[in-house]
Amino acid sequence: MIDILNSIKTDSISKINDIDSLHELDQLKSFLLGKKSPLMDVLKEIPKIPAQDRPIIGKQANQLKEDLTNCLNQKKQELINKERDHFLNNNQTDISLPTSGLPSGTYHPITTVTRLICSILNRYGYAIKQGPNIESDFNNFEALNIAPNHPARDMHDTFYLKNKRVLRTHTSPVQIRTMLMQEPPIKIIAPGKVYRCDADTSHSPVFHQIEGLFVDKHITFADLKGTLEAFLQELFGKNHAIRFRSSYFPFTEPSVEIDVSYTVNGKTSWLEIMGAGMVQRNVFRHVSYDPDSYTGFAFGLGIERIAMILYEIDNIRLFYENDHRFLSQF
Amino acid sequence: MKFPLSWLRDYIKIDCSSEELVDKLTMAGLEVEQVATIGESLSGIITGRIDRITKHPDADKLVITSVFDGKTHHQIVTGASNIAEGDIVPVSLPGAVLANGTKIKSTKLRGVQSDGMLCSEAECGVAEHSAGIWILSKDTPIGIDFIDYAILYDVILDISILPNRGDCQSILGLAREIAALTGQPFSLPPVTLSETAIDHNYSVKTHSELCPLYLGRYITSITNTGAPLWMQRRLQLCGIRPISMIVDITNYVLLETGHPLHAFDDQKCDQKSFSISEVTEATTITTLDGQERTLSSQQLLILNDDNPVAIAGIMGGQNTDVSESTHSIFLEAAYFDPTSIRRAATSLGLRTESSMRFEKGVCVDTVDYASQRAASLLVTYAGASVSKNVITATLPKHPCFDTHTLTLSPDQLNTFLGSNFTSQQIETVLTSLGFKVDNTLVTIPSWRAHDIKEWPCIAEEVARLIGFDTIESTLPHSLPIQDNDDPLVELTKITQDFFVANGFNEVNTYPMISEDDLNYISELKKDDWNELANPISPQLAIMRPLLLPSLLSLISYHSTRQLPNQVLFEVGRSFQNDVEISSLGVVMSGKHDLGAYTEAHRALELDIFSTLTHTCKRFFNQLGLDISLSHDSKSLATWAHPHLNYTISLNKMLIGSLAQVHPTVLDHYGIKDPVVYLDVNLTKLLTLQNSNSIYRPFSRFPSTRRDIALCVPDTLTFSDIMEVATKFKHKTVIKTGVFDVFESESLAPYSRSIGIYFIYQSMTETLSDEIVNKNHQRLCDRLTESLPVQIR
Repeated sequence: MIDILNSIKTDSISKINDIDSLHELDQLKSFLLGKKSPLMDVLKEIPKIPAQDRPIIGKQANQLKEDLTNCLNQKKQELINKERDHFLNNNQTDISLPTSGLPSGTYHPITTVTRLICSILNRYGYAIKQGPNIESDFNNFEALNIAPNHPARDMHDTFYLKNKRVLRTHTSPVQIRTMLMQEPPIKIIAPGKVYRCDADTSHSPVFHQIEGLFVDKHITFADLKGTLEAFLQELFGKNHAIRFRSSYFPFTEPSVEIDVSYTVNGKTSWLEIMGAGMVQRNVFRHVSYDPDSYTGFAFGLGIERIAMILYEIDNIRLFYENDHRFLSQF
Repeated sequence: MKFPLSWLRDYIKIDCSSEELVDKLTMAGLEVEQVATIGESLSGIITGRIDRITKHPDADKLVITSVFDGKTHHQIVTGASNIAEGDIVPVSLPGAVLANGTKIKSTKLRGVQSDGMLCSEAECGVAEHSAGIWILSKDTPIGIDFIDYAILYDVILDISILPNRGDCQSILGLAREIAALTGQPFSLPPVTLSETAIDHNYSVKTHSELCPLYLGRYITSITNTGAPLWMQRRLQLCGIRPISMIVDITNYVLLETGHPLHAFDDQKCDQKSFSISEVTEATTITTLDGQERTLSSQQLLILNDDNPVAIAGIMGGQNTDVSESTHSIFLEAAYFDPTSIRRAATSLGLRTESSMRFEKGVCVDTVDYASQRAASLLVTYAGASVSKNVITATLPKHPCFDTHTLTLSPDQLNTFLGSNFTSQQIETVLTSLGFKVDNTLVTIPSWRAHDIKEWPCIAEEVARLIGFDTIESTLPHSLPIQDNDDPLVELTKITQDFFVANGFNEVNTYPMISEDDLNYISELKKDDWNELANPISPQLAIMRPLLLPSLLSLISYHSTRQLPNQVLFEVGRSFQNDVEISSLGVVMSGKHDLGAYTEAHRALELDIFSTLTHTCKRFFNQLGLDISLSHDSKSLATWAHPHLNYTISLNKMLIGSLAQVHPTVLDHYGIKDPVVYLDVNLTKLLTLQNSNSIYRPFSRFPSTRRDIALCVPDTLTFSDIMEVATKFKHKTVIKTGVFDVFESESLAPYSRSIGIYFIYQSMTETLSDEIVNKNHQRLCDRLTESLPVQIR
């Protein structure tokens, strides 16, 4: 009996090893372990053998059954894996074909640069404020120490509406609006559209500025310098020289223009980047702040100018043409 | 303003290079916009007298001249025809170089030796073209260095003078500034004027506070020929055309001192009584440029008797202007109120060298200095006699004559600037600028009275001269708690991020549109337009009431450039009556197949109306806002398709609209494909905050789905069906939707099939089929009873 079992074992294992498909494996399984299988024949014979041999033979036969079952399962998993590998390795999908679906949208470069500047100054504690584009003469000029017939009005080619209001010529009226609403300390920036009617090829009648204002006790010109140097180094990188040049704005005193040294095509020159200064005392008077208690600094810069430098754009009109072939580059 | 360095050097020693000077001026607020060097290549040009002219033996168009340079005669052949014996002309001898770089050599012209060249103005570099040789006046010395004599070589600084620096609008003013910047001494050059006891009947009265000082000199026996060459050249270098001795001298003094002067022809002044008064009723005057101009109230006129003879400080009248035959003049020098001059010049649209100076404020203390300077030049160069009897009208108590002082301690200055300037440094700087410093008391020089009004101005002067760059940078000590951003900033950001993430391209457009654009999209009355009074073009004349026209222009722009399929959006301002709002505008145009290339994908081509509607819903969903879209033909916008349109409301407030654009509007922009437009009033959205979300428990029991396929006539919409379904559906219906829509010949004519599913779920139990069937059957019955539909 033992010999029969051993030969069944040898024979079965060899058959299992020869199998190549799951279907054949199924058939073999019923041949090896089914009711008419050689193993079953042996099991049926057990009651006929001497009682003392039965446990040994029975144990051996059951062991063989278990071994064959394991062997079949192992073979089955092998064949499944093989079939899966075959399927995976024979995938003919051309993944190099173009993708289809939602195209990517783009931000206008003015938005990108505005966000960049605001995110730097936001970290310095400046809150972002906005104001209307149609302004009163008071907010745009008078409160900023530009009386009617002040020669500085020449610096602003102003669009007037038929109702005598103006399209703001700078974002500075947001200073006035904020100071009229709140008491110091004031620490704000105000990005937005501004309008000048001096359009030619190098100007646009509509452009964008960011205004900054910090009013508190004991604010100094040195603070203005330190703040704007830090800001410009973040914006342009640390290896640019910065200079503060005397200038004139009716709403600041002292007033400066800030130049950054910039190298284009190997040629280094000073680029005029922003205007700034200490808030003029008359501006404080117009918003009922005591000029003897508070000082402050204000600054302003043109967003297009920064975008043109950062992206090497040579024509301001590209921003407003909104040509897809321009916008899709940002 | 243009400043020739050679002229500045008359009054101030300039040791540094012109680059250094330019840098110093620019850093001190006198921005040098351009440095022009003229006559750089010129060399060896002298003056000579043509003593003899003889015919050229072999050429009709050439002559042989003998030119005397004071020592020897030179034989020079020339083709010029405007010369005569005795003329004094510029001569370039062999070795000399002309303005265009040509080097002169001895040569033979048609066989005749020529040792040099007679020069034209163009060859000397003072004119673009010239017709003949430059004939100089008879009193020109011969044999002298003509480059120096006629100022043919110079460096000219073009400086943009800021509005507060009227005092630098003159050669002397800038020289004084350079002196302070370079540490040189400076004082006004003295004028010596010999006056004569000549009688005249002139008198002057001022009737206006706007003219606190008016000063007249009677000058006679003027030889009114051309001004000396050097004076003419200086005028030219500053951009002023020489005219005649009298005009040139007044212009010269204007440039030199910054004081505009005016000469009236004595013979044309019938009456000798002058007065200055404000116009009370509209008055016309023909100015010396031949224009008739009308003055309105508060503008200042100079009257001769009652006859207007000049617009004060701006331009003289034609009736009394000087001409070549003028030999006696009444010379005006005055101080006019800056604001009034600016107001008048602006309203007349007439800006002159004179008004530019008066409106920034001239120095009241040197009015007479300028008058004397002009008179002395007339004596020297025109042989004039000046009457001792100077006529003056003055308002001595006028504030312009006050001396101004300010108090500023070095501590106060350093605290303000954050600097460490010593009191010695401060005093040195201020003294160099003409301030007088007595401890903390600072006296303002008269020429800075218009500019220095408060102590920070003095701090600015100190920092400007020592250099802003010398102040050590610090960061502010105070750290206020950061204020809130404007809520619109955050909403704008979320909106931009959403639409960019969904494949839309952001644009940025001008908020101005044309009248045509406006009429196509709205029925606003002209009174409600936000119309510009001074547009730069009719295309940019009115502030837009919504973003649509700006976006349609871009669709039009791209469709003519083979890019008709656009998905654009903008967050920008729009203007409705007196209200300025922040708007979202979104447009979709053309075909959007998402780049599909298989049949199955191509079939999914987006319907732009449905896509934008869905995008709109998702946008508000992301904002956490529960909007409702409704089709309301009563509030239909002019620009909208009569059928494909929605109004968007939130809490029953209208906050936007979504519609296909009416083809008539598209025609106006030459757009062929349909365009869908979404408009949202972001400003209003901010005022309609939804309440915070509160958690609602949800059912964990299984749900069951039931479908209905309805045959629906075309006149009935899905929303009509849903209205009834919503009314009658059982409370266990938690969700409904469409699973199939089709049209087919197998259906009744003019109808379609709509398949609708209903999801049933209870909060408390697993629903049995019987219960669901019962509830669903009731719903089906109600639908067929209430609507002309059949269940298929």
